[in-house]
Amino acid sequence: MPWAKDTPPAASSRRSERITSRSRNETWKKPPRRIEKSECITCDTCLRNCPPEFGAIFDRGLDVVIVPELCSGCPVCVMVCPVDCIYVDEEWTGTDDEMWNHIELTAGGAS
Amino acid sequence: MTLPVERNVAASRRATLARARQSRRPSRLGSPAGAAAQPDYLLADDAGFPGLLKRAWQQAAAAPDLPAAVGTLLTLAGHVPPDIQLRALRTTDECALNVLCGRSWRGGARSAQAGDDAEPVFLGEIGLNTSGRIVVRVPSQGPLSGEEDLVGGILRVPWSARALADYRAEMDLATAGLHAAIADCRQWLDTAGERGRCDMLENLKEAALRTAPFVLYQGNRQYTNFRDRNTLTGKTLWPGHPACALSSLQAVPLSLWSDSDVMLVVCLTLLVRSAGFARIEEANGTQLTLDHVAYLLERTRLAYNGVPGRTQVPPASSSRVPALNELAEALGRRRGEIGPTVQLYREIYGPLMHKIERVAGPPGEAARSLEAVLCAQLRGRLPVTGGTLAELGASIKVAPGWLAEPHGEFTTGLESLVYETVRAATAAFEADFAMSRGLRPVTALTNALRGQQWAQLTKWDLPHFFCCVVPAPEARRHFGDSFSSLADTAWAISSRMQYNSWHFLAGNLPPVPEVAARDYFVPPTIPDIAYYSDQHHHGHVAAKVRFSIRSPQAVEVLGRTFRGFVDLRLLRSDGLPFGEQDLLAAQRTSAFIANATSLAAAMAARGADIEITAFDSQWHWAKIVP
Repeated sequence: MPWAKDTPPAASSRRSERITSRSRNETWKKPPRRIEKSECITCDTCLRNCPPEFGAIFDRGLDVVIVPELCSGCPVCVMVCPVDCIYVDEEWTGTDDEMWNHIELTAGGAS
Repeated sequence: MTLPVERNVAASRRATLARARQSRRPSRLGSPAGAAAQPDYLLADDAGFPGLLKRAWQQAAAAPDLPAAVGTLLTLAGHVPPDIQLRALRTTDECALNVLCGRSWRGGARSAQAGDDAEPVFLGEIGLNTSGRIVVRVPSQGPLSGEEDLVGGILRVPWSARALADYRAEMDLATAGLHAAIADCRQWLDTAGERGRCDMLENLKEAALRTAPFVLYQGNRQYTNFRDRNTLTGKTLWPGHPACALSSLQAVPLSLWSDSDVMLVVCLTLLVRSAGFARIEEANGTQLTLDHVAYLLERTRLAYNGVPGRTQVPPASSSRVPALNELAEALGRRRGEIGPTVQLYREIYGPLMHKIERVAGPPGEAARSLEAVLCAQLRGRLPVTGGTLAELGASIKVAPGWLAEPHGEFTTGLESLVYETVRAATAAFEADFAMSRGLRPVTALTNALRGQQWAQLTKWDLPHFFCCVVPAPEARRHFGDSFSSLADTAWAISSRMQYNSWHFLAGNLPPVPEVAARDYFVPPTIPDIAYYSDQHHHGHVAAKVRFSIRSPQAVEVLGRTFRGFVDLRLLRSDGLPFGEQDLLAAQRTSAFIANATSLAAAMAARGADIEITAFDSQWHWAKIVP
């Protein structure tokens, strides 16, 4: 599970808070990113490189998805994506409960 | 993400970062990554499998009678063999289809009764659910629309009194058999003890984690780590995830395991013992019961016993678990014996991801003709001699030095060999795309192996790998007649193949903790031919990966065998599928590339500086777009 890796305790704690509140940090100025599944090759490179303090990217069935509430809009995933299929998501919608139930297992890097 | 060592030492970190910020999509080269406002290539919501199911249902609904409609649904309108779909049926559906249509995968199918003229006493239904399985409304069940996620509507099926009686007899027999099988499985698991069961679960979790996805059924219950809601360890559910059916059993006493879990663990264990993890994929899309596993093992036994000159594997002495276990283990041993003497391969039926292991016959005239065409092309473009690919490879072995030196437009002869072989393969096999993948920093790999830097090797990411993709120019007809789209598709394929190499590398390393913690697949050792693979993965749908051959080969590096280190892949987006003779010729072609790669690795081990620098997105754009 990638979120268990080398995360400073304070950053991990802030991520856990976002998961608990199921809300996005209002001070983040950039909108989140989204992965266009029609163009994604499911290589997980974005997931492996998403900074652990955000841990915003998950495999979900056939798709790799960015959880907007956890995504600060930083450019790391965009820079490593080999096919440039990650776009700014100005009109993001909230994550569904089933996904949150899955994400909650990663709070605090616990597996 | 670590990057390969810069060959140009003058290149600054700033320049490297500036490059990293650029889009690598060929048609967007020169633009910043992530700056495009909209995607270029959007798929329809029902692209791939959902669309196939919709078309299959429409065709079935327009069929003149029930047998024709069921025949269409069983093959998904001609895309899969019907016996896979028959083995996917729940017990009630299986009994009903046998009675109503005379269709069964078991011996002794009944004569169909759906068309008899007797007064109907029950009006049932047949539908297709979104997993692709036929579902039947049988007596005592409610309407399918309330219980199933249906692709379309339903076909109404009148049942006569005789059909009902036959159905009851079939169900009585099937239910008794199922109960006996469950009791048998429980007893076997009980005998294995807590430690034995724990080992089985660990092994099966590893199987689910390290191989291609599974979609298996126990009645209505779906066990999968693929699309839909996942219930097995895989990419979505990490090991230990509470939603994984296997993980959730680990601390639970056997008496509390459900019947379906009991059957799942026993059947998967039998499959793995017969050939390793990959055998499970041969059950994809079907029910998992002892009968289904026995059928698969017996089919395999007959295929293996068809190889001459070896001891025959006897059939299972009964349908009980200990007898099937004995057969599974005998097949595992037999597979190891025949592997070096015959070419095993798998057929893959993409819509159901169902695989069937085959024993190839000898290469015939068709394979030899393909090889002759390839050899003629390669002799004209590379410093090689001989009449077969093996002879061409032997000529390189005599004087391999050119592989490490500039050749033609390439920095190394190895790159030139890879490109020319792939280019020749595209033409010879009449493919829309041919490709070959591998590792870029060959010398760095030998250094890392000498230093036993296993943890470091697990950190190498996609930029450490390459895949040379050569499309036929005419293939652009599948992509809006656009060379630009063709180049983007080729690069998307190349990137995905880099990921495959990334996925397989760790599986060749010693299982130190860093390797065990890395996401990886067991490297492939046998080739496959795939039919209608343009169904599930978005990448397969977008790139129109309809018919394909995958021919993996091992490479020797410092005395260590790296399985699946290189491969040759052939792809057609329409037309005819590839056949066994194509596969045999492809195997010789990929072996030619693997031989050269091993020779290059040996030179690198002796100090030559070999790194593959070609085949990036710029290269693909330049080669493909006139």
